[in-house]
Amino acid sequence: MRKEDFNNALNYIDYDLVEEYVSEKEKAQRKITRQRQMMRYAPVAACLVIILSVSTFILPTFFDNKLKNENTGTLNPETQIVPPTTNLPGNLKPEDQNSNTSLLYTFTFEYNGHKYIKILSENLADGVVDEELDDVSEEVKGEYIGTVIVTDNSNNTQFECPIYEYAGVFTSSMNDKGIVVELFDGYYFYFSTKIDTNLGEE
Amino acid sequence: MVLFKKIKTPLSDEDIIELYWQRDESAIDETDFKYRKYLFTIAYNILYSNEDCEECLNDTYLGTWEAIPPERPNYLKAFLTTIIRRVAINRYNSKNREKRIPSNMTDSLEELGDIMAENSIVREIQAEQLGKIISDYLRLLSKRQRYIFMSRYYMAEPIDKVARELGTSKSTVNKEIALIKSGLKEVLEREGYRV
Repeated sequence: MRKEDFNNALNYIDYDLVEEYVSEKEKAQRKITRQRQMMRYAPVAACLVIILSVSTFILPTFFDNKLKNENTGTLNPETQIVPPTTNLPGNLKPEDQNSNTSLLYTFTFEYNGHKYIKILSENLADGVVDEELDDVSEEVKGEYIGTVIVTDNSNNTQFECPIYEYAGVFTSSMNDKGIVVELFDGYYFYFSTKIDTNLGEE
Repeated sequence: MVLFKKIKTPLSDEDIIELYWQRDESAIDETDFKYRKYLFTIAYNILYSNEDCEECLNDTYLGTWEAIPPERPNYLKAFLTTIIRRVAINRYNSKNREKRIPSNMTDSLEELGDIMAENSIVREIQAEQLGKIISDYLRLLSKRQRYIFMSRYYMAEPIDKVARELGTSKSTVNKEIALIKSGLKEVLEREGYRV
């Protein structure tokens, strides 16, 4: 048999075989086209993913850590503190406070479902007025809420206590004085003292 | 100044076939627009000449025009494939024959062409029979082997392209081709062909 005969015979192979071949070839070429497109756009997609992950996860975490370190250096970045949903005794709203209430303003926070309320010094604060302390507010990154001035009856000394809020956590540079108390190592945060009812206004 | 150029989209196969049935000559333009590159590649794999390929394309469109109607192919692309292959193979054969020795003997044989026509009919019948044997053999192969055979011998595609389409290496395709060939040889010898 000559090659030419074989070649001519191929013109007479069953049409369904040709159909099957052409459709398979179309599929194969579509696959190749898809792969080429993926190869073309994969680097762009990878760059986008990197940019998105950096902007979504890494940068906020970096700034969070930096801020927390500057504030107290003690907050666990993974700690999520949320305000309590129940209206516990002492959990008074600012508008419910008055100067006759010994416990004027108590914040309690939940952490991992456990509650912890501790009052270090109920009678520590006597006269409380609000006053801004600009120098301190610049040092701390949290949102400045207000300043309380507290008189320690034991030695009649006055303390200025600026309060800051960050991610639902209230903090102050005066925590060692027992005015604003922050529990460390991932426990709870609260402060309990006589605080001027104007707290919350800068 | 034209700011936006309208992009032409190809018609569906059904619409193109309908145009052929309505004897609308734009059917040829639409076929050319949609399948020119594909058909040209088939012809080029066989003929390796742009000029010949252009002529093949024209013959293919003419053949399609004459075939539809009465034909109404389900799969236009496959239909065009069979036509252009025949056209291209015929051209290939005739070009091969043109490389004849320019002698008196050749001229005298040429003169016998008209009475040798019967011989060509016989050859066509034989080709049809052989085509049937090859078809039966192809049905025994796996889908992948059929694809390789058709790519290599029906469409005359280069092995590296076949390998790329199958996502495999050239050597794997070569091995499969060797297996297919040995199987085909066996079948053809059994049918009485001298290979």
